[in-house]
Amino acid sequence: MRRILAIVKKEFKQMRRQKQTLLLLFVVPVVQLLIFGYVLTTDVKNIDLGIKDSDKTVFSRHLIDKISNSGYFKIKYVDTTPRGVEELLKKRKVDAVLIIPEGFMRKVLRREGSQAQLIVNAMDSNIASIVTGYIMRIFENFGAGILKGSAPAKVKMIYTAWFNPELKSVYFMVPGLAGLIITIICTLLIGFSIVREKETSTLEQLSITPIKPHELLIGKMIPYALGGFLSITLALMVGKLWFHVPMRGSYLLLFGASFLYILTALSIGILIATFSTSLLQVLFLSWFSLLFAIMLSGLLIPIRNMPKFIQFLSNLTPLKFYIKMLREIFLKGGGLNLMLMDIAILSLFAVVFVLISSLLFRKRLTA
Amino acid sequence: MRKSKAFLKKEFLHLIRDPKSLFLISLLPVIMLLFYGYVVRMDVKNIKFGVVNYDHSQFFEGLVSDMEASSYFTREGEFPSLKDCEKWIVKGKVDACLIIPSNGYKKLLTGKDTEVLLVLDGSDSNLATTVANYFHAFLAKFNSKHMPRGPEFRFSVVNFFNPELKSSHFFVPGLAAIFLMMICAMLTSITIVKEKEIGSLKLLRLAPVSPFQVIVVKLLPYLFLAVVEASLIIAVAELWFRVPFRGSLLSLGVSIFIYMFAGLSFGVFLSTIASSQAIAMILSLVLTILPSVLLSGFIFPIKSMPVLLQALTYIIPARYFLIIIRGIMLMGVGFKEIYRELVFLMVFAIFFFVISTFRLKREL
Repeated sequence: MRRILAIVKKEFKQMRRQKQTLLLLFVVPVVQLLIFGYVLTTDVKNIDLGIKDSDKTVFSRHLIDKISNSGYFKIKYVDTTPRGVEELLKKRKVDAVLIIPEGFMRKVLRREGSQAQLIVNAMDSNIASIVTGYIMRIFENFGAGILKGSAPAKVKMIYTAWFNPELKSVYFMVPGLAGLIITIICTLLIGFSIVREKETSTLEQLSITPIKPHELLIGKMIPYALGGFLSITLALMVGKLWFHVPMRGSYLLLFGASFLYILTALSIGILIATFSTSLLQVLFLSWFSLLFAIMLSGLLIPIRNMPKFIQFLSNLTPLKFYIKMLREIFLKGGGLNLMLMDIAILSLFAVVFVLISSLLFRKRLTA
Repeated sequence: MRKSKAFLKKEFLHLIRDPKSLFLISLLPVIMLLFYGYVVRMDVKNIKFGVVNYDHSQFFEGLVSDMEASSYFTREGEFPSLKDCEKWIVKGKVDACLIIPSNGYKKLLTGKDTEVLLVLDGSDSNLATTVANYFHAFLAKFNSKHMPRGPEFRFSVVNFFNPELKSSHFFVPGLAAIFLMMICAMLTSITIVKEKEIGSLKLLRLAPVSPFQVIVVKLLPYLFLAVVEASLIIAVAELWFRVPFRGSLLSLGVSIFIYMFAGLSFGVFLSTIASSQAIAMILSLVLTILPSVLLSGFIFPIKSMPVLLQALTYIIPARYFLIIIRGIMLMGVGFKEIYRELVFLMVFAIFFFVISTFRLKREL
C-alpha cells in the first residue's frame, strides 16, 4: 500500500511538471466539446433553393413565401429550363430547383392535373431526402390552407418525440463526444507515460526495486483514472450548463459506468504500451484503435445501417456500450434495470482488459 | 543539378530500404477504404416500429402492412395500449410507435381527416428526424393510392447525379480524400525531424545544397508514392464500390496531384517545427484527421454550422478536395467549375512549402 502511494505521488509530480498533460486533461475536453457540439449536427439548414416561377400568380407567390418562411431554405429566383438545371447544380449555385409550371395553381384548382417539379442534387442522398421531405410538408400545409373544404379526407400524421421533443442534435451528440474525449485522454496518456519510462529505461530501474508489477500498475492507473474522472466531469458540465443537455438519470449510475469505462480505457492504453517499444508505435496503435472506436461506436454513424458483419465487429469496441449508457442516463433517465446488459458487458471488458494488460505487463517487466 | 540528383537518389534509397513498412504504408489506406467504405452509411433502413391500433378496421390494418412492405419499416409487435409500447421505446426495442385512434376509419368515411400519432424515440434525434420524414413520405404515397383524388398540390422529384440515392456514392470519395490527406501529412511529417534527431541535419549544412533543394528532394519520392497510393484508392472506389465516374480522368489526376502536394508540404512544415518525431506524428494526426473528418463537409453539412465555424472550414484543404472529387466523380464537372478550389489548394501547398524552406534555412 505504501509502495503504491509512492508511485501515485511520483506520477502526480510528473504530471504536474508536464504542462502539456494538464492542458490535455482540462482544456482540450472543453474546447473540443464546444466546437464539435456545434459541428456535429445533421440538421439541414440554409439549403440554396432555386425557384423558377412560371405561374406568377398570387398563389404561387404565397407558396414561395411559405417556403422561405420555413427557415430551411435560402431562395434564389432562377430562370432556367429543366435542362439548364444541371449547369446550376454543377456550379453549386443551388442545391435544388423547384419549377412551378405555367397555370399550375389554376389547373390544380380546376382538377386539370398539373404538378410542380423538384430537381435535387442527390449526391448526398441523405440531404436529398431531407429536402424532399421539407418541401412535401410545405406543399401539404399550403394545400390544406387553400383548398380547405374541397380536399378529400386523408390520413395525416402528427408526431411527438420523447426525451427530446425539439429533436436537438446536440443532446444526442454531447454524451457521445464526452465518451470519446475520455477515451482519447485515458488511452493516450497512460500509454505515453509507460513508453516514456521504457524509452528512458526507468521502467527497468523500477523493476529492480521491491515494487511489485501490480503495485506499479495500480500506482500508475490511479492518477490517470482521477484525471479521466475530472475531465469527464468537466465535459459533462459543459454539456449541461452550456448546451443545456438534460440530465434525467442518476449521477451514481453515471459515475459507476464511467468508472468501469475509464478502467477499460486505461487497460487498453497499458496494453498498447506493452506491445510498443517507441512513442511512435504507441501513437500508431492508439490512433488505429481510436479510428475504429470513432467509426464503429455509433458516435457519428448509426450502427444499424452497417452490414451484419461490421455490426458484429462493433461489439469489440467498449466505447459503444459506454456511449449507449451515457445517452440513456442523460436523455432517457434510464435506471439500472435498463442497463444491466450494458453494465455486464462493460464490466467484462474491464476485467478482461485489466487482466490481459497486467499479465502482459508483468511478463515484459520481469522478462 | 547533379548534386540534387545524388541527393534524390539517397532519399529514394531511404524509402525502398525498408520494403516492409513501404508495403504497409501503401496498403493501409486501401484496406481502410475497403473496410470503412461499408461503415459510413447515413440512410436508415429497418426502422423498428410498434403499433397500437385502437381502430381495428381493415383499412388501417392495410396501412400497417403497406408500411411493412416498404423495406424501410419493420414491425416489431402490436400492443394493446400506449403504455406497453412506451416500455419498448424506453428499452430501445422499437424506434417509433404508431398510434391509430379509434373510429379513425369512420371519420375518414365522413370526409374528415384522421390523424395518426407517431411517437418517436427522440434520444437519437437524427434517427427520429429521419423516421418522421420517411413516415410522412409513406403517408403521402398511401393517401394518393387509397383515398379519392381531389385537388392537390403535388410535385415530382428528380434526384440528379444519384437517382438511386446510394449513400456510398457520396461517402466513398470522401473517405478517399481523408485517407489521402492523412497518409501524405504523416509520411513527410517525420522526414526532417528524423534527421534532426539523429543529427544528420547538421551534416547537410556542409553539403552544397540549398534548403529549397532539400525540401524538393524530400518531397519528390513521397509525391511519387502518394500518386501510386491515390491511383490504388480510386481504383478501389471504382471497381469495388462502383462509384460512378462522370468527369475526366485528367482533371481528377491534376487535382489529386495538387492535393497530395498540399498534404505533403503541410507534413514537411510540421516536420520543421516539431522537436521530435513523436510530436511531429501527434501534430500530423491531430491536425489532419479530426478537422478533415468533422469540418470538411465529409458527413456534416458545412452550411448548417454556425457562421464562425463555417469560416474555420475555409482553411481545411479536405473541404476543397471533397468538392472537387465529388464534383468530378458524381457530377462530371470540369476545370471550369472547380478552378477556384484548385487555386486554393495550390496556394495552401506553396504557402507551407515556402514557410518550410525558410524554417529550414534558419535551422541550417
